[in-house]
This record gives sequence, structure tokens and C-alpha cells, in this order.
Amino acid sequence: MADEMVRRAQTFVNTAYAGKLGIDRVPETGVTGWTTMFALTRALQYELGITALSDTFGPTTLNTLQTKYPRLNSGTVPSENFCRIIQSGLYCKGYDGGEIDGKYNERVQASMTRLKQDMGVDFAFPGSDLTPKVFKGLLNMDAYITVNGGSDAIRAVQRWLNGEFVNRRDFNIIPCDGHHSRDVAKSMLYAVQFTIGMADGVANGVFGPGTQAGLRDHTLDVGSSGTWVQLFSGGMVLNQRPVSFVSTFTSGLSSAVSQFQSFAKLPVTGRGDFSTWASLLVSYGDQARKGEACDGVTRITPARATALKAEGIKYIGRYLTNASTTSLPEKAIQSGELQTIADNGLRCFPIYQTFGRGAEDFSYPLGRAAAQAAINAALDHGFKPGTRIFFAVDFDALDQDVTNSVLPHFKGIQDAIADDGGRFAIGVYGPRNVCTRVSEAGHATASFVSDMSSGFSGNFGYPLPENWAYDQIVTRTVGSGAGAIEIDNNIASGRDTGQGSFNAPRPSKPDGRLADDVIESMQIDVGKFMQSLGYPLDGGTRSYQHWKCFQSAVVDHDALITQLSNRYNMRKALIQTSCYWEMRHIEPLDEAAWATVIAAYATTGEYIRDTSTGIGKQRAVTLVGAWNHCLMAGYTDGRRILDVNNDDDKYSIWKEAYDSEEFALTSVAMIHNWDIDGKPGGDDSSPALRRPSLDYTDTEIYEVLRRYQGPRVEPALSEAKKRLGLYYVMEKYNSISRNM
Amino acid sequence: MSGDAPYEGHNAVVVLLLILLGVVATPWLTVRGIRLLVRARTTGTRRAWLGAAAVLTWAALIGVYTWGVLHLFFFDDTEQSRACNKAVPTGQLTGYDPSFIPLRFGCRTSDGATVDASVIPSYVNPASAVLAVCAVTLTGFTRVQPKEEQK
Repeated sequence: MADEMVRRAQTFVNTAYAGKLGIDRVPETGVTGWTTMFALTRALQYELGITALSDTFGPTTLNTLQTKYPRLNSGTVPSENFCRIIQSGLYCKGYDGGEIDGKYNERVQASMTRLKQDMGVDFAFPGSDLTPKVFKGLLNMDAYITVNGGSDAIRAVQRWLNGEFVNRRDFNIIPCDGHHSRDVAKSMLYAVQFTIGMADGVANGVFGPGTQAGLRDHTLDVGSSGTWVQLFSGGMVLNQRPVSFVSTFTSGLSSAVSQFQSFAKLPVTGRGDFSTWASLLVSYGDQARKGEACDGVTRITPARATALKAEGIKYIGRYLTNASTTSLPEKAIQSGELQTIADNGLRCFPIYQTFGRGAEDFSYPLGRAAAQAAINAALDHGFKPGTRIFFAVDFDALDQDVTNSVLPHFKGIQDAIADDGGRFAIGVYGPRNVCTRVSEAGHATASFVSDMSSGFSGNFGYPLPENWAYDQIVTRTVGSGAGAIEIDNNIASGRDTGQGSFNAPRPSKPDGRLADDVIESMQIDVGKFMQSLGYPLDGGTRSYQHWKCFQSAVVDHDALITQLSNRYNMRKALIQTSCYWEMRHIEPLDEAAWATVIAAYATTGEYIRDTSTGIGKQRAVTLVGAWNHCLMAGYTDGRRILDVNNDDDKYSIWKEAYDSEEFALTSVAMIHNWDIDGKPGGDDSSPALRRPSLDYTDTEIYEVLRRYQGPRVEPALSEAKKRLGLYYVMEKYNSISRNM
Repeated sequence: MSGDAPYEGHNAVVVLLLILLGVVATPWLTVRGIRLLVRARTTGTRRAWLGAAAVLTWAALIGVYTWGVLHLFFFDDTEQSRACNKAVPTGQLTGYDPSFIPLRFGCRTSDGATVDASVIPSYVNPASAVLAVCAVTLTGFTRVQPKEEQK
């Protein structure tokens, strides 16, 4: 909401410092924001004589203020504009700035007193003088009153931390808004280090050996009191435990501690011991704990299973798929591995990591595709219905990433799992904030928390999710010799226990004809996936509707597609996906262009323009290149080599693709073969892939689909991700058919 | 959301309709303008001259614009990708930005800018703008001319 005094503050900084701050004019909107705060910070630096102006109120600004103006008041403010910066800051923070008249007047003094009270530093810095650290707090967007439903208890802890430690060199005033955050969590670590007795410069806000040793010396019990109890109860409050912020360790606090210890699967002592301190201060907690679960990227052999069992491991997390077979060749569950796990009395929980590691790889349609891929893989490996699959969010998702990308992605997963008949349950694997928000949205029933990544924004300052099943705390190597294995050790809550018995894995069979009773479901599923991408079933302004494309690219020529698949050892889904996708993209304009090309050739004998034609949208140069390559490589025969520079040759093959759906589909397989071999003589310099295989990895499938669309640039790169999703849907039904 | 977002080109149906309209309208207006020109030589009134000039200017405007639109006729997915990857440094293409007025095929970059893919000849938009101003002005003059002549 616009505020007239904020607008006047913006006008002031624009007028008084026009062209002096190295930034554009601040928009005079009357709304406080970082732009205005940065401008005021630069204005202050200008007044202080700092030459290299910056948006950051850093050590140089703070030290210069400390040296020149350790206490600003009506007698020490050096100039009217200097004072106007203070007054503007107050208005931007929601305090009365006493007009912007350049005078450190009574209203400014009253506001300054109130601001320091709100910050909790009124005892450290009594009176109405403005001190450097308070000035720093004045020129940022931190709130010092409870906002957006903040907790009064958390605000009490925040104010106490400020008041208690603000005089330490490296402690900056933290917000007092009633919300836990990364800054608050870091300040807690500083506070613990200061209380241990670390000097300025030694205390660094890191949960290192010195801090851990100090905490081991400060186990708290009923009757303890003082700063340590305040820190401990503060930690409990910040972790959203139902306790008061107190300075005496009461039996009530002890009882709450027991409940927290039970929730976090710590030894239940009711005392403030090291393990409990650690869990309150950092996401990974006490890394000396031995969890009953683990996850890893290495095959579980009988020797390793024995070693894991000896370590007390019961539950093993393994990946359903592997995007690459080169960097981590055993990342996905290996052949016979689940049986080894079961034979040794261990249990396995499956993890699905989506293709990619950034917000751009998370969306509703990609969620649907991920779920489909996970279902396919889970069934291939032999996981039984009822298994919970943990879908990974393996990047430091900011809160807005969760809102805009991750939640829609998990809605897509949930919808696709429901469409599959709800055979599998959904878990989420990621930082605390991701797990909590996905679960609260109702998209997951258990969380696998990547707490080892303690620096992730989504872990620092967030409590352990209520529905946590596995808590990943440390990487370590267990066993020796043939049994040695590196694992991420996880604490298990018991909410998920994986699976201890499995169906026989589905063998990597060649594809067969589509089963009659899957076709209708397949058509519905493909249509739904395309709709999720934004392609309407009726085709919109494009030439063909979904049903027609499905009929031509999947059903009508199933015998041919099956034959091509068997002959070239490539999954039917590769051919179906490329052809269906291209046919959905045919537009009336394309058809007009084809008619023009045909008419021109009929009248002039010239192939006037190469344009993508037929249901596979294939160009003459692509068709000639692919067929020539396949003929010369011996992949096919019965045709002559064509001259790519000859109009008659180009037109003849182009017209064949235009006229015949069978030829277009066969050409899809030829083009895939050409692309897989590195497209020699073509327009794509990508290296050759291994020859088609029924066990192609996600990366290889993606590459084949991407190469069909175009060279390794946009839009082929991002569009191929959509094709990959379609591939998974097609593959689901091909897989059902070949395993019937 | 369109299925092709953010790589959506010009609406193919609109392109086709514009081409059909232009191909019909340009010669029709040209013939009509020439006839009016001949008639103006006979009548010799300023209104007749202005009317003929207005119609011929409209013909030129539609002809030039249609010529520009015709460049989109064979501009399929492959051509779009090729044009934008030529216009934008590698790795910076984030989408297409098609526009009918002005007639342009733009390529969006990662820094939020739009770069013209140089698909439409560079003279089409300036010429269309000048012709549009002339056509509207001449048509306006033609409309007010009878009142002036009555005075």
C-alpha cells in the first residue's frame, strides 16, 4: 500500500542525490522496497565520504559510521541531508520520521527509542541516539514487529538474541518478526559460540568441532538456569516446539524435550544433551548417530548387505532410474539387487529423481511424466502395489520455487498416480521446506528429508517436517573389503518401512503388438498428458485432433511400428512419440505450403522449397540423409542412394513422406538411426550414441528425441523434455502389452 | 498456456487468412485505383484525384504488408529455430516473440530483450507505416472534400 511519507522519502533521495549514487532514479511509488533501501544505503555511504558505493550495508559502511559517528543525535548529525536519510529510513520502516526536514527532532527521537525497543536493544543502546548497528537495521527490509502471523514466542527469542549479543563484533541485529529464518538460525549459532566463550573472529556461525565440544560440556537438566537455558529453550521455540522461552529448566520444559526427542528419534532423556542441542541448531543434528536407514548409489551385493545389516541398517533407499550410466553406473537398482536385499532381511524404499536439477525441470506436466516414468520403473523392478516412491527435489528450492514449480510438479505426480489407479504412494525427498509444503498441500504422505545439506535455504531455519520418514544426516563408509560401501546414513522414524518382498522383475523384453484392451486407456492418458502441456484434444487451430494423431501414429500402423522396433532394437515409444508429437504440430499453413510445393513441382519441375511434410514432419534433406546413411550402414535395403542436391530425388522422397503414413513412420526409425550414429553429414554435431538398445537410459532417450527435433540449441533442448514425458506415457502401455 | 509456450510462432491460421486477403485485395484495389485514376482525368475534380490516390495507397499498403507476411509462408519450426539461433548468441535464446503489428519474428533472450530474427525484409515495416499514414490521410481528405467543394 502506498504511503505518502515513503513517497516523499523516495522524492528526497532522487532530488538530493540525482546522478550521485550510481543508480537509476527510485520509482516514487510510496511503497517501501529493497530499491529504496539500497538508494538510502548509497546516500548514507555518499554522506560518509565512501567512494565505492554499494547496495550492501557492509563492514566498510559500518566501520566508517563507528569511527565518525558512533552515536548520532541532534547534536552530532553532520548535515540536514544526513538526517533526512535517517528520517526516510524511519518512514520506510513504518515509524514516524518527524517529517523529512533534516532535523533530529523529538519525533525522530521518540521513534528511535521505539525502534530500539522493538529490536530488543533498548538496554544495550539506551536513549534515543542512533548507533551504527541500529542504522544498519534501519536500512534493510527486516521487520521488528510481528508480521504475517509471526509467533510472539519466536519474537521474544529474536529480541533477546539482539539485546544479549548486539555488542559482539560479528553479530548483526536480526529481524524480530516472529518468523524463524536462515539469519535467525545463524545468529543462534553465533550466540552459542559467544556463550561458550569464543572471541570475536573465532566465532563464525558454523557448527564446527569447537562449538560441538562446547555444547557437550553444557548438558542441561531440570534445575539448570541462565543463558544456556535461554539458548536451549530458544532453540526449542524456533523449532516450533510448544514451550515458553525461559531461563530456568523446569520439569515442563523437560517433558517437552522428551516429546521432541521422541519425535526426532533421539534418545529420550528429557535433558538438554548434545544430540538434542545439535538437532535444535543444525538440520543434520548429531552426525555420530547411527540411523536404521541409508540410501546410496552403489549396488547392494550380498557382502555389502551383510555389512549394512551389521551396522544396524534395516531400510535401504535405492534409485529407480539413472539419467546417466557413465558418471554413477550403479545409481539405479541393478539386476538381482532387490532379491539380494530381501534375502538378507533388509527392506528397500524406492527413490525417483527427476530428469534435471533446477526449478525449470519442475512443472505440472513434468510431474505427470515423472510419475509415469517412476511407475514404469517400479513395475520393471518388481515393486509391489502399496510401495511409497520418494520423488526427489534435488536442488536448493527457494520458497517461490516451491510455490511456482515444485507444488505444481507434485500435483502432476499425484494426478498421474491417481490415474494409474493409486497403486503407489507418494513421498517427497528434499529439503525441509519442500517436504513440509508438499506434504501440507496433500501431495505426499511422507518425507525423506535431505538434512545433510544444512546450508540449503530450505533447511536452514525450518523445523523437521511432521511426516518425516527418513532424515538424511551424514555420508559414511561402512564395511570393509568386498562389503565396503559408501552410504548416506538416515535416521528412520518408522513412518515408512520400504518393501521386504518383491515381484519378479520384468525382463527387458522386445516390444510386441499393443494389447487391444490398453489402447483406449493409452489414448486417454496421452491426451491428458498433452492437455497438461497446453495442447487441447480438439487440436485448437492445428490441423489434427488428438484422436486422429493417436490413431495414425500409434494404432493404425502398430504392426509396422512393432516390426521397426524389433528390427532396430529401439523401443516402440521412440517412434510413436516422435511421430505423434510432429503430427500434433501440423498446421493449415503447413498444408498450404505443401500444396504450393507440389503445385510448383508439377508446373515447373522444381522443388522450390524444403519444408517439413507428412505425419512425421520430415524435410527432404533429412529424409535423404537418413535413408542414405541407413542404406550405406546396412540397416535397410531395397532403395537406391539419393542425391541431396537433385530436385527430383528430393521431391520424390519428400512426396513419399507426404503421401504415405507408413513411409513417414519408417522414416522416423531411419532418422533415429541416423541421429544415434551422430547424424554424419547432417546439421547436428552431437556425438554418436551407442546403437539402439532396449535399456537406453533417460539421457539417451532424451538425446534421441531431442535430435529428431533439431540441433543442440533451443527450442530443441527444452521441447525434448516434453517429448520425454510423452515417451514415458507411451512406454507405460507398450510395457504393459509386452509383459502380458 | 499454449503447448508451444514459450516457443510459439505466429498464429498459422491468421497468417494464412492474411495472405489470402492480401492476395485478393491487392490486385482488386490496384485495378479499382487505376479505374478511378482514369475517371479522375475525365472529371478533373480534386475529390476524384484524391479518391484514386487513396485507393492506390491502400493497395500499396496491403501489398507491402502481404509481401512481408508471405515470408512466413514457408517459415516452419526448423526455420524458426535456425533464424533465432543465428540472431541470438548460443545459450541465450529463451523464446519467440512473434508480432503482426509491426510485422516481426522476434527472439527473446535470457536478459529479457527481444532480437529481430530478420525474417521480414527491413523495409516492410517503415514502408507500411508511411503508407498507412498516407492512406488514412488521403481517405480523410476524400471524405471532407465534398463539403469544401460545396462552399
